[in-house]
Amino acid sequence: MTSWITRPLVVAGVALALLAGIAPKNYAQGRPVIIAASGDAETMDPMLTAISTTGSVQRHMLEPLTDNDPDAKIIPMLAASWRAVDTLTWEFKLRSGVRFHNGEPFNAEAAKFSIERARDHPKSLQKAYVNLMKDVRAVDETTLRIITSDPSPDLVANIGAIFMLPPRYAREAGDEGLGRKPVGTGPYRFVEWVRDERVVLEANPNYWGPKPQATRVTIRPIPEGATRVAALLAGEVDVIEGIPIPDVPRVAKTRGFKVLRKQGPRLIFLAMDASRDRGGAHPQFSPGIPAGQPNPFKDVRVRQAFYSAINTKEIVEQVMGGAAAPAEQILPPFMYGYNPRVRRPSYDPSRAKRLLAEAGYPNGFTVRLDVPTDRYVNDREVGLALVGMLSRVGITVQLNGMPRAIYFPRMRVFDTSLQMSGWLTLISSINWTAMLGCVDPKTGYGRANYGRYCSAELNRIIDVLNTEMDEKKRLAAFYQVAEFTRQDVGKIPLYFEELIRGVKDGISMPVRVDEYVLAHEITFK
Amino acid sequence: MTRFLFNRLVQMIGVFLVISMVIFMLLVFTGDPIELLLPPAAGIDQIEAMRERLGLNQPWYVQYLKFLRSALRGDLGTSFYFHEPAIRLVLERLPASLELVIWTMLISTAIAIPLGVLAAARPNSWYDRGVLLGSLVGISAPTFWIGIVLIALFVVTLHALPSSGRGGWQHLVLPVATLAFYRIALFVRLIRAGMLDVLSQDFIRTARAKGLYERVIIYRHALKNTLIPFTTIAGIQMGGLIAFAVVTEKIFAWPGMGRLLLISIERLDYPIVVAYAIVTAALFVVINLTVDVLYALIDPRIRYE
Repeated sequence: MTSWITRPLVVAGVALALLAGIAPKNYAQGRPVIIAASGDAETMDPMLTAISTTGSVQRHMLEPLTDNDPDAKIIPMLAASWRAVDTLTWEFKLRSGVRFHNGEPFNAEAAKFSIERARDHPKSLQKAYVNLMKDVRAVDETTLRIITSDPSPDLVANIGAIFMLPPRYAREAGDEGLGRKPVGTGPYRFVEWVRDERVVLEANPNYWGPKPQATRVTIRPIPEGATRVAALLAGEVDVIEGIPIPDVPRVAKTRGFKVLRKQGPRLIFLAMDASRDRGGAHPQFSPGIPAGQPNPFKDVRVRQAFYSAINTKEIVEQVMGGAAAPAEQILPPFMYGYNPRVRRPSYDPSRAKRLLAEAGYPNGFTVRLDVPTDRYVNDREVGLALVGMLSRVGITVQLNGMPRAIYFPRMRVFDTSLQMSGWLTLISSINWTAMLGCVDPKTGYGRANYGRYCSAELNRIIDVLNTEMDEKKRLAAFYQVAEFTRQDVGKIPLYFEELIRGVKDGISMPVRVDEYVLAHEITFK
Repeated sequence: MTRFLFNRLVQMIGVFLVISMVIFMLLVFTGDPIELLLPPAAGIDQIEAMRERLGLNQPWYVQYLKFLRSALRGDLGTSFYFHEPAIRLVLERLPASLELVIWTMLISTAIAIPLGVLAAARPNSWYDRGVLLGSLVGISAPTFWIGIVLIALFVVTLHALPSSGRGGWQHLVLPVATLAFYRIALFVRLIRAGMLDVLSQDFIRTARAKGLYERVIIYRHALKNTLIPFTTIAGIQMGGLIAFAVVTEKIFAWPGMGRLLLISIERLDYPIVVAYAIVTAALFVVINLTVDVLYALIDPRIRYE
């Protein structure tokens, strides 16, 4: 090659390498990739976090026993297979010959150590996934047995949240070391982490699985969506997480870039106070209803009326710019237990009016709607749209927007009569338990049930979801809860937010419903 | 001077006590972070257990006294999310913030002083009116908007500068420009107003009557007297920038303190917010002290007894 060709190439290469913070000599080994994430990891200790941007970074280096594919289907990872020995015992067969980045062998002892750390570490934020695992036994090198205190049909999914750690390293490095420098079995090894600037990873040459095409990965946290888009369009980064809705058409139209999108699992829904009888001062009375007035939401016809009065299609198209999908029920269609027969009632304001009149509110009523203003995509604007739609059927809505730091603590003590929030897990039973289970510290149900809706009948079926080990009976129960909720309207599901990624042309990668952006899933054309 | 410094130190401790208490009360009455901290899989039973473990179920004064007790031992608490000492997380980001602020102050002052002096030297001229109008725009334009416009122009269209992050001088240009925009406008107005005020005073007339060069009058006599109020405002601006360049740091993904504050407030990470407030208070005390000392240097008539 002549120098007029090579020189610009070398300059470009050096420039790219400098941008990525790497030495030019590594450039020749393979294709580097730069990912712009919406936030930095807080810690590299997998047991001390529950935030998906952090999990996404860690997942490059650390692996669980079971995993979910981009569409939430459970797949083997470090466990090759599993079975329920009896209703209280699960057995996992682990992959053999897998080693951690530091050379420690991955085996049943390591798995036992990791699970017990998630369960017993005083600061662990993952106890919820493992607290039923009473006894974890390493039967031999590759066999792990888990004895549970109660039947645990979701154990295989739950255990997917726990990343495997090398016991010797964990003991030597301590919490401080694990928090700063992770060692796992994953496709990438840790290189460096400069807080709020970048995480750098390199391909693990001894990886047990398929070798990733992206050999060197830099993850840059860029919290502002508009800046992420600029970084992509300027060619600084290869992949960006989350594009602001107004910028989507611009990225899609710009030559050399693509937008990847998929319906996500985050449900946005409305909850109505179903516990207090009258309006008035919180906590004794329902705070969003005029003092002394009866609480209209105790009447199922009012809840049904609200369901019919809301035009989700219009919200999706007009407010969400098409970047959402109307929700037919609590679960998205790709998740286990989705009932294909249950559809949301069609938008029908005259039916809503009729139902309100039957319930004794021919002229409607006044209610306060609480919404967060910085938590979900366009949350405040969706609140405004709801005010308009409900006014068409005679409901006077006072919109009350709050930043999330104020909003959620208030919702937790049920300081609301009508509120909007979102919910996201990939474990179907948790969705039902949290959103529609009767609030009860003994069972732990009702984490996201800010309206304190409680139906003894529904609660019994939710118990079945959480304990039934027979697949058929369990699936039937899932179908049943969806039908029941469609009739009794314990919550009004609105829509599922879309997941949006931007990439350079020539890069393919699946959009994952767990919101992770994983470099080893990238393929180059 | 020693007595003066000692008094300031005592004041500083008082300021710390008041600030930490106010912040503590505000945060405790806002609510707790558990809802945001625990994964969705955790039930409400675990939420209660977590509140208890972190001591968040106690009344605010109990929590505050506990905080004070460990603060006396030098421990300002551990972040709920980072699981590291809050003060370390804040101080780790101080150099990045300082880098941004020092450049912003240097550039703003270097541009604003000549602009303001010239405007004051020729009041009501076209030049003066232009400077006033320009500074009005600078004061009114929101930081967020300036940042986004600069990115659209220099990053996306011209491919001339990096969009974000910290690195070489190229990374400094856009965030410094964004921050300097408002400061230049503010300082120009301050210098101009101060100069006009001083130029109308008797000693300037005397100086002119003595036949001094106009340049000497303006730079040696008038500007020096204008610098006292200017230094005060510049000091306050500097403190404010170090602590609260929140929007700019977010837009340009600058790894400074403001970005940490923003995310900690959003997620109710109390220990960081409290540690932050204390570091900020300390910064302001130091800056005010420096300003007071500068007074004495600029104006020999000022003495501290």
